[in-house]
Amino acid sequence: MAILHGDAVMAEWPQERRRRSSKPTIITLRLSDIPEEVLREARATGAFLSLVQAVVDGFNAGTDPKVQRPELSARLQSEDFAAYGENVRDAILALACVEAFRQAPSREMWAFLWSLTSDSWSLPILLEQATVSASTDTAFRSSFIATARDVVRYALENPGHRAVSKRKGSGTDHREHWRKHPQLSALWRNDFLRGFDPFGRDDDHVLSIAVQIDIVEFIRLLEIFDYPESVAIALTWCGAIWKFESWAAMVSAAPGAFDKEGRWNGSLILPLLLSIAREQFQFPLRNDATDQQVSDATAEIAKLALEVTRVVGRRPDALSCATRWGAWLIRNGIAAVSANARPHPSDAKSQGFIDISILDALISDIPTDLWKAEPVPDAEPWECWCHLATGVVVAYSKKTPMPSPRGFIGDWELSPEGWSSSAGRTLKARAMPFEMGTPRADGYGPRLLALSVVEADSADTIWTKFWSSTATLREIVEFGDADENGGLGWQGRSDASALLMLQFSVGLMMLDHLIQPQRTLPYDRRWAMERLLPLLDEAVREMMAIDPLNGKFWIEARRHLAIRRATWLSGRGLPQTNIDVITLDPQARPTLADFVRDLIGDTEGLLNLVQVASLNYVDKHVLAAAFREAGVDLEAEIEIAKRLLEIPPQAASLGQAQIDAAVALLTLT
Amino acid sequence: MALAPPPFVNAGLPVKRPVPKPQILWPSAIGYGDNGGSDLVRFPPVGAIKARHSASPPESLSAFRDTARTAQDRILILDDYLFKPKKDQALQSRYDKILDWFPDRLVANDVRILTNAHADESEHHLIQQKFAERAVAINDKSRNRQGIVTIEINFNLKRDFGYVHDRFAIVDDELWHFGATVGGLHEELNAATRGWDSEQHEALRFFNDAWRGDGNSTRGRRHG
Repeated sequence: MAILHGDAVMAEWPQERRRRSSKPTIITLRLSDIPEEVLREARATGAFLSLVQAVVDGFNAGTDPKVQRPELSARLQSEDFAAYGENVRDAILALACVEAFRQAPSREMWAFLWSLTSDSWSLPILLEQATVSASTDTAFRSSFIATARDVVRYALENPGHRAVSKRKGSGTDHREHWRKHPQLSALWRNDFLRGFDPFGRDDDHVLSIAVQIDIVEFIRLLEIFDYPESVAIALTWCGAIWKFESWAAMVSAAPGAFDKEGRWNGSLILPLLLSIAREQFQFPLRNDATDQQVSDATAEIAKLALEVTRVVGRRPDALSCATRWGAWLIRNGIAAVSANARPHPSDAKSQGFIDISILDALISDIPTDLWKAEPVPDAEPWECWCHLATGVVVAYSKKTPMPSPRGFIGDWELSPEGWSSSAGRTLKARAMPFEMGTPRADGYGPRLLALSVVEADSADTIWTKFWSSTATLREIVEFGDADENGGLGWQGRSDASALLMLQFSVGLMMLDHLIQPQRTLPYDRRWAMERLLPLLDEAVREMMAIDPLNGKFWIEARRHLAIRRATWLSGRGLPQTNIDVITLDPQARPTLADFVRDLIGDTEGLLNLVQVASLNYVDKHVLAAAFREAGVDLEAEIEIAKRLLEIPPQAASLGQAQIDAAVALLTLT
Repeated sequence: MALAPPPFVNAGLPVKRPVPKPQILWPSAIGYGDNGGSDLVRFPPVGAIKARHSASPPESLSAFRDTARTAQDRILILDDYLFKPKKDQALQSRYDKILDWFPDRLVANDVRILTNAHADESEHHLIQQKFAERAVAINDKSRNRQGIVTIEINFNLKRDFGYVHDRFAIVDDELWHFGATVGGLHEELNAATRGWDSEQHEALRFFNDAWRGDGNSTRGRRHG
């Protein structure tokens, strides 16, 4: 067993680099380790020719490989080969198999040869290497590739034919299912390896040999498959995950998967390769990683993302790749980023950072004038808003005009009848990526969508129309879904309220973009803010009244508004930028005192507001003044809270921390 | 990143539920436990052990049952053989014991059970159906409840995260550790400990990792 250290290459997968730098490469058995003259001498003997003939005869006679193998082993034990060690004898048998294949190249012969080797650990390796070595001969190479094509075609028509008997049928089922339901998003998700056992041995290892002979031919062989499992297995186990270089060569050789409009043509290889690339971004960071470790990982992710997109960028369908893969990346990214305490992909420690980094790198490679704002013609239902969100990132990255939110806003306009129709289903499907994970009012997805809305028209005007267009949804939340049956009486309400939470989140993020715009807005921000704040407050009040199922979200939404009113909208707490800080008139409603007043009678709500205000650095004097103005007896509320904690403590929505925050404020009220 | 980090308001207020002091408990049999119940804070006497062993089904750990029934946020269970009673015990009786943890007035919304697949896949459908019906009942009977309960059952523990030997449960912010089946459902002598801070021990992170799985196929074999 040889132990070698590989050489460094320019781009590597993280796992590839770890293997190279931290662990020695373990090489088991190599044909090339056996001196060439030894093999030449053995091949020149009559015994070798007899061995080859015995293999051919065994095949022609239809001998069971399990019977043929001991007979061949006996020949190798004879005095003709007695001078050689075991490894050399195995190599001689592998070479004899190759010669037998040379004489009668066919799918059946290959299957016979492969079966002959199956009870040995070394023979399959040596047969693979001997075949690769023999392929330097053009004629042999051609006949091997032709045979490989036959093997793959046979596998195509008989998916799972090498599986254990009880799994054989499932191969056909998988293929039929894909034929009926091909879906680009399933390729991006690439879950195919989880149930791969029906297909794993279908190719009799021709693919792992073909990839070493010629990657272009390997890709052509994969093109024969019309279902993804076998392609995913081959790409994964034939080198795409082991070496960046192999992955890059496969991407370059992969057939076009998208037309100029971005339509997917059903090709499996490229989407699976891109999915494999995403999986290779493995930069594990411990919870206690140092700043330097985080910084290094952040830089490495950005660098690898650029390398990946550079490879993709050389393809003629690069723009369409960026469009379709970008939508998937942002779909995953928005849910992951929103799960961070601060919903922003700040660095390698942030969830979603990898997806957004790859997206950024893809976008940086797109020529400014080529991005199409409209969704692709065959977009899956979930893709449309993701495409809009990607367009927002493109607009920021390229400093180009913002994509119009018209389609997005239009999707929400539903009549009562529309809810149960395709319009309602479309709305739910398009919103789905933005609703994944725990709902939060300041999620990353709503933030991106809000950017396109806030640049389209004055934010207050557009929000007024936007919110009134969803009256149907609020009716469903309040009164239930009239068309619902099947014992799931809460499903329609739940779906409608999830949509309204998302809609409000877009509104809240519109307010944030007004407060601190990323680019100059073409209208009076103060005017828009003064109107948008009460509109959002009104929306929350309405929802708190009709949507007790999500009371926690709406209570938190009010706190979001209250804290913004007490800080940013009052000229406090914003980081310094070159954007003008706009302060609302102190009397502009709702004031912080209005928010406090609304909580009168709700001890938990009052004390929670105190603590949240404290966490967000609201000036204690400002908060105390608001409590005074609202006429709240904080001391009495603290006493009630203490009693609440006693009966029963686990059910109270407050804890000692809230009481402590209120006590600290007490002296100022 | 193309977009600058936004200013940030932390409006969420996760309320830390109280976690009792760590404690070890043994489920025994009715009448043998402290205060006339079946839970003990010391090893059960032989009589209790035998009574429990011959019971079908055995008494569950009432401390766990009561805690689960009053959970406010979550009940997460990781147990490879949760739904598999001993050979001569009816499956239905095991299911009923588990369903008892989720009363109609359950407050918690996040209920997830991560366990192993059954040899008979039709059993999965039956279990899923029973727990889905319970979720519907909970949601229907408490119209004013906050949020919607979902009871998810993932049968891929062995397939997707076959690294775990012990059994665990997280109820709100409390981590439970079980020597045998979660809830003390195993008939042989077993103990459970409770009162561990799930945040301090990163139990939620672990559970979510196990729930998602790591994509590798089966590892390891059970050995007791």
